[in-house]
Amino acid sequence: MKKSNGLFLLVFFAIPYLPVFAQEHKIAFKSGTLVLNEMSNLSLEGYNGNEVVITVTGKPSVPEKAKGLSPVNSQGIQENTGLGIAVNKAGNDTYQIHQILSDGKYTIRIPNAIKVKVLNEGNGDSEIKIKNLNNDLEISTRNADINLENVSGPVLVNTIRGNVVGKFNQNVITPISIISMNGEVDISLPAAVKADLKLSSTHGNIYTDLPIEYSKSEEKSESAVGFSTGGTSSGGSTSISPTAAGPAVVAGSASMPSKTESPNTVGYTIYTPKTSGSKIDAPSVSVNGSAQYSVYVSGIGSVNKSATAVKGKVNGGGGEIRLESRNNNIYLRKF
Amino acid sequence: MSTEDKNIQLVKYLEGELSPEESANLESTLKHDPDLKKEFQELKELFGLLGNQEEYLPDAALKMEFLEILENEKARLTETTPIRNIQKQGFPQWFSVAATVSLLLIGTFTANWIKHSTDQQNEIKALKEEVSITRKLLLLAISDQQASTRLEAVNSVNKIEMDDELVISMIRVVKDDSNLNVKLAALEALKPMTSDYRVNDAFLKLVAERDEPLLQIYLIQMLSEMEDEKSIAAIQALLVDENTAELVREEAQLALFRINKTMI
Repeated sequence: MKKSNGLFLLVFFAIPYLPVFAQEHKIAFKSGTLVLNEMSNLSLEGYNGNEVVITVTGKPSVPEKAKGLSPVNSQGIQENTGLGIAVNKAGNDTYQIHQILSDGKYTIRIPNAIKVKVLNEGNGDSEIKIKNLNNDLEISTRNADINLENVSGPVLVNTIRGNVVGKFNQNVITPISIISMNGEVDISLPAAVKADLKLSSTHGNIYTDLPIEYSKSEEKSESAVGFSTGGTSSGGSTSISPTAAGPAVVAGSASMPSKTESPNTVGYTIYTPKTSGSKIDAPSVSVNGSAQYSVYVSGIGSVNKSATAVKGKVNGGGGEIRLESRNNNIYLRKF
Repeated sequence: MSTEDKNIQLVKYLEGELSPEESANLESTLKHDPDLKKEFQELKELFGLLGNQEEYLPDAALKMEFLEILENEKARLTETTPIRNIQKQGFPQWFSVAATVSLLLIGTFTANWIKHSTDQQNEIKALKEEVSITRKLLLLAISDQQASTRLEAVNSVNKIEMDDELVISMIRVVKDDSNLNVKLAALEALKPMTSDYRVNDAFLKLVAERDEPLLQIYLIQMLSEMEDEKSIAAIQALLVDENTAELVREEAQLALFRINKTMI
C-alpha cells in the first residue's frame, strides 16, 4: 500500500517536468490576438470553440539529464507547457507563444474570432499551414513556406524566400497583401470576387485566368518608355490584341543573373487562353485591347527597372488585393 | 375720361386706392367697355405677377446705395423734364408698370442666382470639410492597433490629395510601423513624392537600416530611379558595408549596374 502511494506521487510530480509526456495544452481564450513566434512546423486550424488547443506530434528531443529542468531560448523566454513551447499572456487580449525546442510539429486549433500573427525569422526550412480561418491574419517569414486554405482575410503576408499558396473562401475580406521576395505567389480567389488588383513581378511572370479590367496608368507607360530608352537590347514594340475569348494572361520575364542564360537575353512571353504555348518575343511589349486593358511589359536583361506591374479591377472593383513576387512567378486563379 | 385717366384709375383700383363710388363706377364701365376690360385683365395679371414674387431683402449697404442713387435721380429730374412729359410722349402707363415688373423679375433672378452660387460655395465648403474629416479619420486609422486597418488606410491615401500632415505620417509609417506590408504600401504612396526633401531624406536614412532587408530592397529600387548623386552614394555605401545582407547587396549591385547603363 505504502509502496504504491510513493509510485503514484512520483508519477504525479514528474509529469509537468517531462515534456516528452505532454501532448496537449489548452488556453481558455476566445477573442483577441494570438502571436506565434518562431514556430517551424505549424498547422493552424480555425474552429467554433472557446479555447486554443495546442497539440504536438514528434517529440521535442530532451536529454535524460534535462529531467526536472525547463529549456530557455535566447530571448530569455522559458518553456512552460511541457510541449517545447512557452505560452505567455501579454496584455489583456494577447497571448504570445514561442517555440523553445525544435523538432516538434505543432497543430493549433483556434476559436474563429481570434486574430493570428505568425512571425518566423528562422533560417531553417519550415512550413506554416493555416486553414478555416475567418479573421485577420498577419504572417512574416524569412524561409518558411506559407499555405493558406479556406481563409477569408484580411491577410497580410511577407516573406523573403517562402512560397505562398493561398486558397480563399467565398467571403473574401480585403485588404489582402501578399509579398514574397524570392518565392512563388499562387493565389485562388472566387470568380465573383470584387477587388482592385495590384500585381507585380520584377523578374518573374504573372499568370491569371481572372477577368481583369486592366487600368491604363500614366506612370506605367512612362516607366515603360523610360525603360526602352535605357535598354541596350534592340528596341521595338509589339502590340497584341487579346482574343475575344477573354483577357490575355500577361507575362514578362527577363533572365536572372543567377541563371545560366546570357545577361543580354530578354524573353517576353504573352499567353492567351486560346493560343496557349505560343510565344512572342520582343524587348518591350504592350498589350492594347479594346481600350479595356493596357499592359506594359519591359525589361533589360539582368537589370530590370520596371518589369510586369499591372493594376486592374475584377468584377467592377472593390477593396485592394496586392500580390507581389520580385524574383518569381505569380499565379492568380479563379475557382 | 381719357384712356390715360382710365388707366390711372385701373391701377388705383387694383391697388385699392379708389373710393367705393369710384370703384362702382369703374366696375360698371368695365362691363360695357371690352377694350378697357382687356386692359384691366392685363394689368391684373401684372399685379398678380408682382404679388407672387418672393420678397428679396437687399442688404443695408445696397439699400443705402440705391437710396442715394434715387435721391440723385430725383434731384436731376426736378431740374430737367418732369416724368409726366415722358408719358405724354406716348408711353402708356401699363408700360411703366411692365418695365418695373421686368426689373423686379431681373432683380429676383439675380437674387436667386446669387443665392444659388452661395449654395454652391457652401457645397464646396462642405466637401472640403468632408475631405478634412476623411483625412482626420485616415490619420486615426493609420495608428490603429490592427495591421489590416492601417493597411486599408494607407491604401486609400492615394485617393486623396496629400497634404503636409499626410506626407509626414506616411514617412512615419515607413519608419515605424510594425508590419512590413503596411510599410511597403506607405512607401508606394510616397512614390510620386520622392523629390520632396523630407521624403528623400527619410529614404536615404532608412536604406542604411538593416533590420528589414525587404524594405531596403524596395528603397534601393526607388532611390536608383532618382539617379541623383546622394541616392547613388547611399546605394554604394551598402556595397562597402560588410554587414549588408547578401540579397540587399545583390539588389544594390543591380541598381548601380542599371544606373551606369542609363547614363551611357
